[in-house]
Amino acid sequence: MSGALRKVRGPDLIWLIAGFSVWGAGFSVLYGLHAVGCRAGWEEAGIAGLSANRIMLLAVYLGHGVLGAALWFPLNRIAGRWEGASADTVRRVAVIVTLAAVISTLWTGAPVLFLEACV
Amino acid sequence: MSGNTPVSLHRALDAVWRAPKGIAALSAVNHTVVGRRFIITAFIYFAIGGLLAMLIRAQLARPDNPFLGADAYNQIFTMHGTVMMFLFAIPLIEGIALYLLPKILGARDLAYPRLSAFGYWCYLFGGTIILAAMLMGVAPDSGWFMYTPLASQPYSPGINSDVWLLGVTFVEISAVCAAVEIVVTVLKVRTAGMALTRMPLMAWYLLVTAAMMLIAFPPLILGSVLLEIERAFNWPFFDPERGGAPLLWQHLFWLFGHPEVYIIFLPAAGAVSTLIPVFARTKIVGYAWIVAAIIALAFLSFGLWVHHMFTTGIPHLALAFFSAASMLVAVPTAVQVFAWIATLMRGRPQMTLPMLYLMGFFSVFILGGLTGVMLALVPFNWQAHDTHFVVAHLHYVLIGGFVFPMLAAAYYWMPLMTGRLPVFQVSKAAFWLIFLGFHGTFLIMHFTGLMGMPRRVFTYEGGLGWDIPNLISSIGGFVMTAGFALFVIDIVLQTRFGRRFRRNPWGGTGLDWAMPTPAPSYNFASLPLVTGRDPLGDNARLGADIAAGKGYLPGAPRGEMETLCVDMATGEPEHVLIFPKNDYTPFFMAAGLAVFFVAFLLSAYWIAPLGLIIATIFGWRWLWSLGAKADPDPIDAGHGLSLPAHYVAGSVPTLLGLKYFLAANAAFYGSLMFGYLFLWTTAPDWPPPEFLGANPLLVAAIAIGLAAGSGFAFNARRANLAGRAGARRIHLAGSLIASVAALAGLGVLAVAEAPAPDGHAYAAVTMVVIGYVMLHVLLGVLFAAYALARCQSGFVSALRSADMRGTAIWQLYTAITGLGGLALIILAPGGMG
Repeated sequence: MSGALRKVRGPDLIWLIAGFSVWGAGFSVLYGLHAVGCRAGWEEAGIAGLSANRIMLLAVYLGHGVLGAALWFPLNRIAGRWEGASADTVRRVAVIVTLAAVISTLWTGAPVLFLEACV
Repeated sequence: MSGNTPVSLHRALDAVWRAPKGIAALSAVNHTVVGRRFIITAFIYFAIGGLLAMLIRAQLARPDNPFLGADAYNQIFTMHGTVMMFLFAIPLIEGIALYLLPKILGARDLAYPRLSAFGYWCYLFGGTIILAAMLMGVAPDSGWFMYTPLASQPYSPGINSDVWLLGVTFVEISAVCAAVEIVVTVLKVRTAGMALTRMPLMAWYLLVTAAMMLIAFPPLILGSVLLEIERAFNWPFFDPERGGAPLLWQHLFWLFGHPEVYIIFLPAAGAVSTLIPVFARTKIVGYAWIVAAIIALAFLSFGLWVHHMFTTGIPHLALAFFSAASMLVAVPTAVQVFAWIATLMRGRPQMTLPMLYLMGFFSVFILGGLTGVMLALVPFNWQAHDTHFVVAHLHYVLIGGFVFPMLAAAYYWMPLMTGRLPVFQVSKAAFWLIFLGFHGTFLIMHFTGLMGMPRRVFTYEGGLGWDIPNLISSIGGFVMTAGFALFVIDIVLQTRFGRRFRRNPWGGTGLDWAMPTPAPSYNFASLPLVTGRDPLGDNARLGADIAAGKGYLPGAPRGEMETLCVDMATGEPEHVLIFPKNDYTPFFMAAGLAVFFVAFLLSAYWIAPLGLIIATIFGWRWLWSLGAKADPDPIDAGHGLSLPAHYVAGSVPTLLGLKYFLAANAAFYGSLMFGYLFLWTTAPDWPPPEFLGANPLLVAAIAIGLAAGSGFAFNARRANLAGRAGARRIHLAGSLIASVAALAGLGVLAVAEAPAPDGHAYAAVTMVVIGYVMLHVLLGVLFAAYALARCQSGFVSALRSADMRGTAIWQLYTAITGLGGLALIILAPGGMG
């Protein structure tokens, strides 16, 4: 019965905060890892012209961007089955906030692409 | 309900719901009474904060002014910020939320009436402590932000800082209580058919605001606790000479402080979103976009706190993260502004009195938002930091984004409180005085700041170009004060002599105007079935139908105070919430806490635990009064709907509230972990000279005790559901014994294995982690003992299982945070080498 229509229930509301939870996690990990990397001297070691610190930060940045974007697939599948009074509005809000969260993740983490890490 | 008339229903309901008078008013818990108390008290504090502002402006009116000395000025500007932020803005939001929510959601009261009453008493007592200190000349004087090391013992040796730390923490208990109350009420306590997406936008705003409060206030409470412990017992969390870091305070403070700006703004924006469609005679444009913007704003507001710390030497890359987030947050704010403008364009706006104040909001707040974007840019921030430019910006944001909408909201909803309409001429004069006085004060202050005048100085030399701008600001300040005085006069006039009206004077479409005015004690004679976002707009006779008992739960046939609880998404009725009667318990519980805080403030540490014992006794009594000794029959809610009472329902509101309290608690715990890691990675003088001695047997015993305490509690819950009373008792006893064993082990760890906490920040923070776990295990012992006693007294059955489930939830939280904390303090020293 995976394709059956159903009403929006309490647990579905998680989709209203899922995207920005990924943003929050990415933001926190970037900030924390940056402090640890600078303290631990990861800026000095590295490969292919990139410091270990930069590689870690890029991985976190891109990883959270991809994770946020990947939410689209389960959201699309689950929200497509919602029906009833709340369905349209909850679906629309979920889509807007998930997209906004991906853009926010890419925007707020973008400085890892071009700024010195530990200055 | 045949035979019922609106009058007979009113009499029956009022007899059950009416708040007591005289000394018995201390026992009142009804949301209308408590909300009104919050609002009135907050406005009294607003007047006090305003008088303090006048003293500041009098002092700065001219150079080298001998009017106030430095010490008095420090107390006054600290108290101005403290009063306005902690005793006016947040409590006013709480008061409005507590007063309005049931009325706009179609309910008769909040989820936990006694909790909001308890919150009010905490607010009143905490605020009184702070105010009394000011009258005695020992008010806080280190700024409303209490930065260390200025607020630390060596530089602030009196009790001034302690007054702030203890008083504000006491008040913040009230904020956390209100947050839990609001979240659960919005999610569960609505009328039939009010799906989440049919809620008025104000409810969305308050829901998101309350969720933010649950996460934002605990870091401040933690910071205050740590600083008070440092001041009282010399544990060096913020002392760089012993492994502490003053910046830790700034992080914890602004982790609260920046979301706080949006916590203040969002409810005001909720009022704007409510009022604009009413006075534009149309529906709001972009409901879904506004909800999405609120959610985005809530999250993003937690990524801005470091923009208050741009000049503290944090690496540029980190600054850039926060600068980017600070600019980004303007986008969801702008989405709301554009939605409001679009609504005005679509409708036929009427320039009523509330609209006048909303126009003031637009012009002031948008200017404040623009200077906010300027300050989000690191290079500009470095130039303007700690100048009067920042003072001007924050007042444009807070007065523009909060005070103007709140004044509009006051004029809009006052008729609901009083049943009378305002005397317009006075209120318009008040508006223009406030508006012009405000710009007179703060517009020019931007330039005073750009000319280099620092904030938080009690005087300045003449001839620096600051004389005239300061004089103009001071004159503007007094004009603004005259406006606020007129506002107060107008409200008094309205209350006493305002024009009476029948119903819905503004043509509102929400349920708040579908009740008699002034609002009766029970709000609705029966609870309506809602089928759209504008119930009164859809059915102009709705108010009469409600009064005639044509909705659900008409009257009070069982002599109980009842309302509906619904599925949080669909709004389908799930059960009937039966409220407690008026009760002195919240008052005495708050009084017990007052004993604790005052004793701590006076360094009477041996008396302080007495206050906690009093509070615990009344807390026990509070919980004991819940539930029933027999499984109740389903309740006839009307229209063929039969619902269970809340204490036999699957989603008992009490348990939902417990979960949200634990979410706030988890934010406190997370902040503590952050503090530990921050000190470890950033503070000087690490690693520490001495580590925690971790006897493997002792650690294993504690871990087993924690895990077993939770495991037994879950088994007890399972046994209860299966109807095995003997097994239930045995498992509860097991949970209790395991918790006692874990508590003893933690005690040994703290006393015998941990280094002295006053030697190094590592030892201090380790001890706090141990203390946190011990406190929760101790409460776990009480939970298990309480559940045992409840089982013994017949309050628990397979259906009435809230006590068992609550105990299991608490013990699980204790086990997770306990084992996590234990792992951190045992394993971290290995990482430090």
